[in-house]
Amino acid sequence: MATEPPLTKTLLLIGNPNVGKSVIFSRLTGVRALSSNYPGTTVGFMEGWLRYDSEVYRIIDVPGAYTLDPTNEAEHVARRMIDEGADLAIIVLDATALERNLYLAFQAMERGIPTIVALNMIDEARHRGISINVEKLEELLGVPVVPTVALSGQGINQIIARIPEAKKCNLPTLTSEERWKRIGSIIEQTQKVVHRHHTLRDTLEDLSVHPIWGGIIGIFVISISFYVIRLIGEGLINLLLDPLVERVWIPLLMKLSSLVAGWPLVHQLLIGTLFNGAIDMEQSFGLLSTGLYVPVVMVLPYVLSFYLALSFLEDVGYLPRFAVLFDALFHRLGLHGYAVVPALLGLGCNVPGILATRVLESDRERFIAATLISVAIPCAGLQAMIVGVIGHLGIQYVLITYGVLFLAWVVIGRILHLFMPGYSPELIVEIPPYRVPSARDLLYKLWFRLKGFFIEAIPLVMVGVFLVNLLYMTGFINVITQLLKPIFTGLLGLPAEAAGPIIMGLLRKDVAVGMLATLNMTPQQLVIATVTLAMTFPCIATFIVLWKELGGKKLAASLAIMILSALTAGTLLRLALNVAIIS
Amino acid sequence: MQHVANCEDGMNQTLSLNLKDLENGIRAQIVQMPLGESRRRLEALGLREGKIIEKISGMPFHGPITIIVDGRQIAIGWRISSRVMVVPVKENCHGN
Repeated sequence: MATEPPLTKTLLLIGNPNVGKSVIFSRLTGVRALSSNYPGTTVGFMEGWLRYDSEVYRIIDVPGAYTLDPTNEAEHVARRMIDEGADLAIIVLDATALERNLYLAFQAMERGIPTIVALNMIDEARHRGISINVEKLEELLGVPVVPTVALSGQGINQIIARIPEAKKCNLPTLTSEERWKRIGSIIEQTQKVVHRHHTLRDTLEDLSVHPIWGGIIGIFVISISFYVIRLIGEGLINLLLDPLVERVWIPLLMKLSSLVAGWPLVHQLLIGTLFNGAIDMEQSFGLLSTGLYVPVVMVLPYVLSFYLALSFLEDVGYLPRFAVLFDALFHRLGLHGYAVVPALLGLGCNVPGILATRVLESDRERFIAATLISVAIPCAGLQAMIVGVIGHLGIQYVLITYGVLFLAWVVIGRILHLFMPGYSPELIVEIPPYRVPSARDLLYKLWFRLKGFFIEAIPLVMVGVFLVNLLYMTGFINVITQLLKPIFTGLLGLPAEAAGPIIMGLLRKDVAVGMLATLNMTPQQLVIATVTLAMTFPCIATFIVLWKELGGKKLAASLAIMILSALTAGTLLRLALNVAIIS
Repeated sequence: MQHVANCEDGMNQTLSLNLKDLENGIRAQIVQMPLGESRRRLEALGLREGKIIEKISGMPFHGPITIIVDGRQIAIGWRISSRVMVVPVKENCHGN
């Protein structure tokens, strides 16, 4: 690691959500950050370093905010960062919505940090018939104003070059009325808008929130997304990864198997159980067989294709339209349409989904949203295994599994909404214009998300497989199985051995489904076990993030809800599927 | 038919109606905003008294209302939108 020079200046990057702030951040620092079209995805913050002219700047990407009178967690964080003060601030303004953007700019400048303004998306503004007199704006604001197009990098060098000119503006603290008055006068003097005709894009934007057309477009988007996710996921598995495993990996493992045949313990750990002298990648349960096969071959392709589709929808700017379409439904669960974004992220991995609940306004909403994600939204790993394992038995079983999870999501949300004290705020959300995504940003974002999977998921799967082997070798699993037998056998109609996989679910739920598949259960039992597994106690990563977000007390409440609803759903499902009692 | 005001009598509250009751495609001037937290959230997105907006759509089952303010779409929950009072204005009226 490079040593930090003693005189590092702190530079805050401030702006509304969705103004290209993250892209400017990555241009300045060279470290890529998540950048997207949807307000709220940069909650939390990034920092990076810029060296220029013998100075070193520590750049902090402040979470996107509309106002410093915070209305949600992200804005609280933004305000705290700005109140802490800094040597410099770059305020990023969206040139297509200058008036509204200036509100935050004024609030920030009133706090007396030397400032430069980046007037971003200046090209887009021109397209929309908005012309801005930059010199005049600079004169009226009293700080340097640099027009930029962050996506292409235009203007970034000028920002850096003008850093020494950054100025404090001697603004008193204004009331919101005074602020709007000043902004109104600045807009009048600097901005001209030529009205132009409705473009195709405008029409599409209007139709996307239309009661009927919006629904049709929504169904179309969801169907295409599912199709593409399956196409890419299955394609990667069937055409690339499975043949590779078949022709390269298994022959290698077989050689290893005969090499270590003399050490049964090592053989069991690395390769696992042989079936008729052959390795079964799904069932052998060695570190190098199932331990690698599940995360890399069965799960990774779907994680990749899911995030590709989601990142695309994010960058195009479609997600906020989902918020409009689903608001009425979410409202009945004590949430508003905005909560669709954390839920969608949760379909990839529950952890970012729960983190994204920070964009919701109240603690009540955050609790409901985080609990619902954890209990009823299956992550991509779990889903890949549901489709991969249960799918073999018939599509109806996959549909039952998804149907029960969706039903649980609605019912639990409804109950929480009815019985939790307090009320939930209404939807108020900006819907950004549709944009053509940049392939470069899309791929970087995908890489960012896949990196997370590689770093966190694969080692956890390995640890999981290792522990499972340990549990079985030491016989400790029998103790647990006996202990939980009344629940599993009596209540859920499952073989007592199903306790093992569900305990495994504490680490990774995808591996746990893989273990369930080895138990020779009926399809109905497999569905019951999978639903129970999906809904009960979260995996370790989700558990930790829930703890951080909710705190100990609410975490306990959330866990109680999960376990209770998992057992309820499992039992009801058993009655519905009429599984005979196994004694 | 809804009443259409001249720009001058835009602030006349007796002719005002709920944002949710405004017809789609109609431009209107905001004459009254809700109070408290909702006001702050709306204001942060550029909505305040005197602003000219255009209603795009309203979703069924008490779903949100979508409007355009300063060329930008904003979706507002049904209940809040019933507390935003507007007066329809003529096509060529631009307000502040």
